Amino acid sequence: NPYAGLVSHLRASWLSGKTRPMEYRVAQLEALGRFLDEKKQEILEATDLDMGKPSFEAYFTEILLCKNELNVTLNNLCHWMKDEHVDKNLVTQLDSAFIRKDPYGVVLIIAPWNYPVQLLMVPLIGAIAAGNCVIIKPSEISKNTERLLAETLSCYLDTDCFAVVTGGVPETTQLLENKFDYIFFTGSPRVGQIVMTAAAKHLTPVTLELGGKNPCYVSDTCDIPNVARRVAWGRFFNAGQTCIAPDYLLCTLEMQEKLMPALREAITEFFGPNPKESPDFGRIVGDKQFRRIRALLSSGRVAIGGQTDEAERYIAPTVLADVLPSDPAMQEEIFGPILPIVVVANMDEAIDFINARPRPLALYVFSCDSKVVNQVLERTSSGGFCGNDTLMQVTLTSLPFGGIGNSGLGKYHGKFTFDTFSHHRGCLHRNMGLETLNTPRYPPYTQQKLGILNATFEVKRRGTCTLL
Amino acid sequence: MERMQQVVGRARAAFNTGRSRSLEFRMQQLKALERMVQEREKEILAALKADLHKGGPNAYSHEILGVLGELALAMEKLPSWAAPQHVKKNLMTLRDEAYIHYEPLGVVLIIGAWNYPFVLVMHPLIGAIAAGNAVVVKPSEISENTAKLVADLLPQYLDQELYPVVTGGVPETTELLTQRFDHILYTGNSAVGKIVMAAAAKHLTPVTLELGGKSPCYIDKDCDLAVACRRITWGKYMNCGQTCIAPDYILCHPSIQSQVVENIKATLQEFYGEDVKSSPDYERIVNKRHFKRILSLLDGQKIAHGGETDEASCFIAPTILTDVSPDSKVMEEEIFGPVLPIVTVESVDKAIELINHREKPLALYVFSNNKQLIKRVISETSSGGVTGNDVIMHFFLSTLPFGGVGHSGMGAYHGRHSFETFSHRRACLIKDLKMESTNKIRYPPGSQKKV
Repeated sequence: NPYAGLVSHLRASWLSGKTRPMEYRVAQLEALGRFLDEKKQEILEATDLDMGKPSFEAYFTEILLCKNELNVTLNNLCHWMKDEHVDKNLVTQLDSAFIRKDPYGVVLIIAPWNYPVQLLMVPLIGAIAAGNCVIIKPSEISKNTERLLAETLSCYLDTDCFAVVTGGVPETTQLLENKFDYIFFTGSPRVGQIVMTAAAKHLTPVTLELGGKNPCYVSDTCDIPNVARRVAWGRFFNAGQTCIAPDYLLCTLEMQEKLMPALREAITEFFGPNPKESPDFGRIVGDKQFRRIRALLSSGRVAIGGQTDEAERYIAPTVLADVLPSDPAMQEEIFGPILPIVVVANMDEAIDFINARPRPLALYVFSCDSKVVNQVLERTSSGGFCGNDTLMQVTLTSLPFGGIGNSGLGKYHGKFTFDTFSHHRGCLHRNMGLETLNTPRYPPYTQQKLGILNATFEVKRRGTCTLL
Repeated sequence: MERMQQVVGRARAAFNTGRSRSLEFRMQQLKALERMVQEREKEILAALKADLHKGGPNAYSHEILGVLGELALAMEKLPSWAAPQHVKKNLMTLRDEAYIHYEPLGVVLIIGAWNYPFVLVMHPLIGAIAAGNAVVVKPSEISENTAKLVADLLPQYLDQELYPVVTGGVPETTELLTQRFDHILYTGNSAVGKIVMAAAAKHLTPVTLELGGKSPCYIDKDCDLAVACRRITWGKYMNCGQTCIAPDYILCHPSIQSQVVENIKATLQEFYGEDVKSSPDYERIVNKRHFKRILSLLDGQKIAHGGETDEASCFIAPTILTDVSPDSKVMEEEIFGPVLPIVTVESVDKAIELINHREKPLALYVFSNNKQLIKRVISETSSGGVTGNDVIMHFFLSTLPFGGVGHSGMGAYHGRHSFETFSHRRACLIKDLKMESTNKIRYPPGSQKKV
């Protein structure tokens, strides 16, 4: 296996204990901070070359959000690393009981192409903070960013403990044959299955950040211009290539009619009369993806946009009206700048529609009526949820970010990333003395001893608790 | 195929009605479980006796006491565990509601093991019900009396559609694993753990694997040997060594080896009397296959104490092996029997080195008067859990997560950790539909000012 040498080199570094002291972790994290500062221009250029990522977006998602995660981590690392002392029972009153956060060892992070720096950097920050050695596998599809990362990260990070591996499917398959102590994967559900199957061979725990079709229900009582703006922003950001983008809209026929001019207005406000000329609208990452998304246009009817230009991999911000559940746009995650609207009669129908499908990574509801928002929340299941906006739930580092069912398993961001890459080890440090207190547990077993155990081990109900 | 599909399908349909979600319902089911354990105690103890030759007080303290404790804890804490957890907000979300919403995962599968057949099904079940799920329970067929009893009792006390019990062996379990679950908690060995995870991967089902390994026990020269050896003897020979967190082997300096042996011998006498075989407190090996497996580990070893066996009753006497080589067969796999090898090491450094060159164990034990040494061993090794100056006990503190790492498993449970294992923590951000002006800075067209 071409990567066996690399993995064992990192494992030797891991066993040396180099990555464990806090000072080391802080130094590596600060180096990542310098990388984001010093290579800012290069990152903006690479992501522009890869998918026409507008520099405003690239700065926001690839630099700012990463620096936030870095700062939250650096500000709290000392506290996160500490042993977490836990409540004790009667038997352990005089002992020391705590949860120790142990690094796993050598971990693998596989990143996708759509936010190629962020979706690599944020897990990496947590993995380093938790004391691991890391093999980083950026996506080969965003090839300019891949080259940038492969060439420059090694100038900032300790190459004994952190390595970047490049390549496509064959290389990744071979990489996955090695034993890792944790694998963090962001990508499609199909490949997620392949990763988890490979991990199972070594009993390697995984976090899978996958995707799906994120529904967006717009109720009849809402502020239409604001809804249109927030939905358009979330849908057309990065030309729709966002795992948490609102994938399709559910609303009544009346709402569809009312929303259309508002959406048109919002798109013009954002990108001008000809989005192709706007520096703030991106492109599709590759020809294959372009053709796939273009084929989805034959769904419902094109109400806004619909123009494409293969040479530029440009697909206009598009809204499709009267889309049927059987249409192409409703068969797969769109991952492009197309917003299909599926008409439903009411909220109940919308909820049934959502629940008949695989659980999404994100779910959106727009309504001025908080009861509607709560109803949809209570009666559906999704990785995350945002009422009256799109995308924003992932910018708050105190909220866990992850999927459920087909949209993934595990979670990260902020402390959740640190926890993801740590083994939470239950530790009980007892007293060598006071041996007589242990007598009731030893054979020969008697009813009397049992009575004592009952008294000391038992958790008694504290009266009755009033429910809700 | 048909039967498994039907059972799981029924559980899923029942879950989809939403009735397992209300806190009242969950409390009701937990209360029913508590009644079941209290009312049917005699039958449970009888099943454990039949399966593992476990005596009354012993079985009660190991399998019933803990279950009643978990039930009481879950019922008391459920409202606070299930409550939404509000989180710290940033500048952009100051006026919003941001919280983590705890939700059930759906239909979960619990696969039990044969060594503590009741508790290893009940503990996870309590957490899964508390979290609002439907649960398919698959007790181990090897502890067949307990399996039959569980299959009999649960439908008498719990909602029959939501919490079906499936019995059977490898073919039935394989079939069951082809179905889609929203979480699988498996307790057993690493080899089957891999099979379970591979099956789970097909449906992207998260798993908790409670596996095993060789849990090392390091005895420092500087320690009260009598006390240390009594505690180790208790943990090693309970359930005839068939405990996933039993101290598997001892590491100590050669100069204290014979003292360790003497102390253990004295304790064995104290615990089981002159004739271990006739002690009501000493169990048997679960079946002939395991009996033969453990017997073969004695080949070529120096037996310092014990070694007597009786195949007819699957009896293996508490046995101590000395001067064991780290390369011998008994040091390869998890012993899971009443055989205690002692491997001598020159120093704690060597002990740490030996431990770190093996797969990460489920538990790690270290005995010493020197607090710093204990801290060092913990810091320089990895394991599922640790108890210092005792064995097993970290299992009984439910505020500590109980689980493995590496080959010894992934995920954890007990107490609140069970509830969290079987819940989805859904991130929720609820904004105002007004207040649009604050959003303007993020919308295109971009500008330096906005940046």
